[in-house]
Amino acid sequence: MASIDLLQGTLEFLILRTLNWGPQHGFGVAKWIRTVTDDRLKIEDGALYPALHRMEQKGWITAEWTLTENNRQAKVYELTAKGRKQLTAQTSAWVGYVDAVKQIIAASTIRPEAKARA
Amino acid sequence: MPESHSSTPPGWRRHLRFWGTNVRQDVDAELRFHLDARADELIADGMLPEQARLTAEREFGDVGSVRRLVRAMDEQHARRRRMHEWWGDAWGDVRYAVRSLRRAPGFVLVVVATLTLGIGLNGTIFSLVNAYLIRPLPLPRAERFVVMGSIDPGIGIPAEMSYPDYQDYRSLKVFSDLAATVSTTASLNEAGRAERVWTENTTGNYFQTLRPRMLLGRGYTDDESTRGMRVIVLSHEYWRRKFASDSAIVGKTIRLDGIGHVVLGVTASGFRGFAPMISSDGWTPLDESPGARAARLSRRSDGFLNVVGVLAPGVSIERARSAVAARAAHIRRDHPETSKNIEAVVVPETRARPLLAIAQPVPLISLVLMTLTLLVLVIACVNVANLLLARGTVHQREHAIRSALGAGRWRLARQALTEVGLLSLAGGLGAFLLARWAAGRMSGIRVATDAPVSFEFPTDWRVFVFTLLAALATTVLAGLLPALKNANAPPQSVLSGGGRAVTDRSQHHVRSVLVIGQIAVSVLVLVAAGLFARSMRAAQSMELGFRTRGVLTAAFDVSMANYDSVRRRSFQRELLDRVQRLPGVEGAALAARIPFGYSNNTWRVATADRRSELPESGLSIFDNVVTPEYFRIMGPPLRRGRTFDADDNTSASRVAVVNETMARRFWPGGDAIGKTFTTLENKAEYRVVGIAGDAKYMFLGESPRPFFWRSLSQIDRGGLFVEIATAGDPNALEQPLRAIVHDLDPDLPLYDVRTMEEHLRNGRAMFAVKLGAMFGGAFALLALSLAAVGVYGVISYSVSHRTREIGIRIALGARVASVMRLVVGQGLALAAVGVLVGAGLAFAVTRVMATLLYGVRPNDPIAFGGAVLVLAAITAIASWVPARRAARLNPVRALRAE
Repeated sequence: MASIDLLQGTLEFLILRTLNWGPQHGFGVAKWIRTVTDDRLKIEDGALYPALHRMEQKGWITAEWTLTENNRQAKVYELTAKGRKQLTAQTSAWVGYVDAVKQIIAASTIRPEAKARA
Repeated sequence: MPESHSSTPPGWRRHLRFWGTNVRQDVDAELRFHLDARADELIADGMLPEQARLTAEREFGDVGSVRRLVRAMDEQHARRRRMHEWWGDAWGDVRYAVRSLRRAPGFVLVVVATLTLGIGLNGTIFSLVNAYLIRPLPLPRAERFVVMGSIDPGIGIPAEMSYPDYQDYRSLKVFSDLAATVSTTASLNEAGRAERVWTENTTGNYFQTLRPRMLLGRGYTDDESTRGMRVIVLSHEYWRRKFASDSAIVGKTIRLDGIGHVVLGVTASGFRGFAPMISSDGWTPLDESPGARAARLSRRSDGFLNVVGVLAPGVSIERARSAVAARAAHIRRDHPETSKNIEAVVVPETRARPLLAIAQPVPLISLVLMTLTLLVLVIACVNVANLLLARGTVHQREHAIRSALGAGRWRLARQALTEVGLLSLAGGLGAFLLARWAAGRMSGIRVATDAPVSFEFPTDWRVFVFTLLAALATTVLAGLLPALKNANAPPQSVLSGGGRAVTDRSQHHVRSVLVIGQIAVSVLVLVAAGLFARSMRAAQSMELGFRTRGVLTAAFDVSMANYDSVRRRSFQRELLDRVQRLPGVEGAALAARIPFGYSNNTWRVATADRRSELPESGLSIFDNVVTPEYFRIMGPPLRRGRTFDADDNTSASRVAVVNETMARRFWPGGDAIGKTFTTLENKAEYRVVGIAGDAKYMFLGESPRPFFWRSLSQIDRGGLFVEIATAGDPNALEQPLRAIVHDLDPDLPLYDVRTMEEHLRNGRAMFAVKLGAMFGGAFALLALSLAAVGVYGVISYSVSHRTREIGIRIALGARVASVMRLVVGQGLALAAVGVLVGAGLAFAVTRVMATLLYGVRPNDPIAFGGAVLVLAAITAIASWVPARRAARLNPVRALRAE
């Protein structure tokens, strides 16, 4: 199956959804996305970090340094109230978008003139 | 494992983060964690460590560019947040300061007024310095303007340049242009009414050199001057005044000294040539034509030209100087008979103000003035600092609490500085307005000369920037000390010590000495101002020895018309006859000079009489040349002997009238009448025929000086004054007088027409006294205000420190009156010392002023007593305010508050 190039904004949406499960560091987010999408989205791990920092500056997520079980210092991100609101808004936007795309794919057998006449 | 993979962010960085995030290390650590964690995973899956690391990095993408990008993002964000916080804090500080200042309007008023005065004085003096040293002329290429003069090293003062010398320098390549000009008077006859005008007679390239904006027409060029054309350019002011802004003036012909000149143009308003102190009425070209050249232009020994030039682009003044020096050496070699020692100076135009000859000490004078005024500003700052300290103690408790609650010291200091900054800004703004007003007043000063000299001290952006900088310096000076003092006070000592800062005795002494100094200076200035003011009053009703009431004086100069000596005499006789027949005229006389006038002449006078103890070289004595009626009409009246008569003509022996002082000095114990004296300059001998009374001639305060009069019928003179005495209003005689002169010669201007009283009031008689009263008054006000604030500040400070003590006194039953006495007494003690010192100073200094005063002695008890009383009153009021505050202390609250 062909990989899909990520759109700007898609990555932020994915991160929001990931963090909705709970606080997570960048590595964890990358791993989660890879697992959930079966690696179908071709995301370089490095691309996550600018997005994470941008979202932190926008106030959607906050970060804190904590110790992992391996006793390592990791920067862990967590959704803020603002981020949660974003997630809700973006989720409904995405659902609407996906519905629309689905309809287009389903309707591709009908000719445009016919649809117009109907 | 490579080092970069193994390290984790050390714990101590968290502490650093307290002061702000360390972006670089955070980003590095975060990315390193990612790579390490992924590699660990891969190793757990059985991969070799080295391969695991490479795989992790491959999956990650371009580690370097991600690191750079994220770092840049975070750094920018951190910067923005810091700015935001800073502005937020600053705005908070401003709001806090405004809130707390609004609770103390009296304090604000006193501080702002003090700063307005202190900075305003500096702004005013700076606008002088600006006008004389800094501000370029409002002309294109002004930054390259230079002024030239000839100088004889033996004399050392730059002088005017001769035309041939000017021509030699003009051809130098270091100058783009070099023009020359001389101020002169001429009679301008327009619409049948002649008047004297001040014009500049310039080389043809004058307008090409200075390039002023023209309102109408154009300036003349070398073309007009080398063809000897009669043209004139009018100044905006004169055109407006004399020609009622006639927009069709260009091309018209006006008569100057009886000769028609075509008006070529009118300069735009504000152009005053390169010597901005003189406001000329117009400009005419020198006749530089080869044929009709005035003899003056060919004489190398005759220096009369002021020279202004423009350096060629890229030429430094040093290069111009060496080129000029080389050319001067040529001139010395080629013309030893006239120019054996001649050299030339080239100075930037800004160093040639107000005139090249007297410009040299201007920078030094400016420096001294600015230093003195800065000193005043420092005193104002110290006063303000005292006020702030007095207030700061009140705040100290609050500061201490906030400091204990964790507000940073710098943060608290900044808050205090914001308060001072606001006050300084208000003071600076007030100061700029004050300086603008004062500079305007000073521009309005008319110097006591008959030339159109006036000052202009424009308050431009430089003055504004200067006052702003002064305000800034004030903030630092007056604010930093109290702010740091407050901020440094350890909270526990303030809180446990009952709100009292630790009083440093030596500091208190310094403050007291400073206030005493301010009071002393105030006394000095106040005495001086009082003496000038009393002189003004006395001078209104002065007895000068000659008639001052009901006299009209006017000047004319028959040498402006080309009369021979016979015609001159008949003109003078005719004029006098007709004036004397005017209704209401008691009499009239002609005189070469008027008392307190501007052209005065001295002779070295000696006598053969052996009893007089005069030096061999004679005495230097003023004289006048008058008609016979002078003594009866104008005075001083004759005491003995006779006045001049018809027999004292040019063919008879020379006669003179001397005053009583001269008679006494020259012929002690004997009769002066019939004796002779000699003027050494021309070896002329005079026989004394009469003795007149003494009078004042130069200064109001002068002691009687020798003086003699000669007869106009024996001396040929062009420039004369006509003095007319009347019982009625002398001003009413002006029109009839003008009509007579116009009738006699329509081209002859009558000028300086004014009453004797006006002449004395506005002329040099009162100039020093008026200026003294004006500046003395201003400085006295300034000194008094500063001293009052100084006393107020020190007493307030001391009261705020003694709150507890005063509280205890009141609690123990001290009466309001005794508390008041305690505090006011402290202020008056300061005043007593200050007044004593000041009066002593004034006693020493005012002796120097004696010649400038009239009708009062330098140790005038009223001036001294007045100054002392004013100071005592001011000190009492300044300490009464804090005293009342102290007396109203609620003892319970005063003690509990601590």
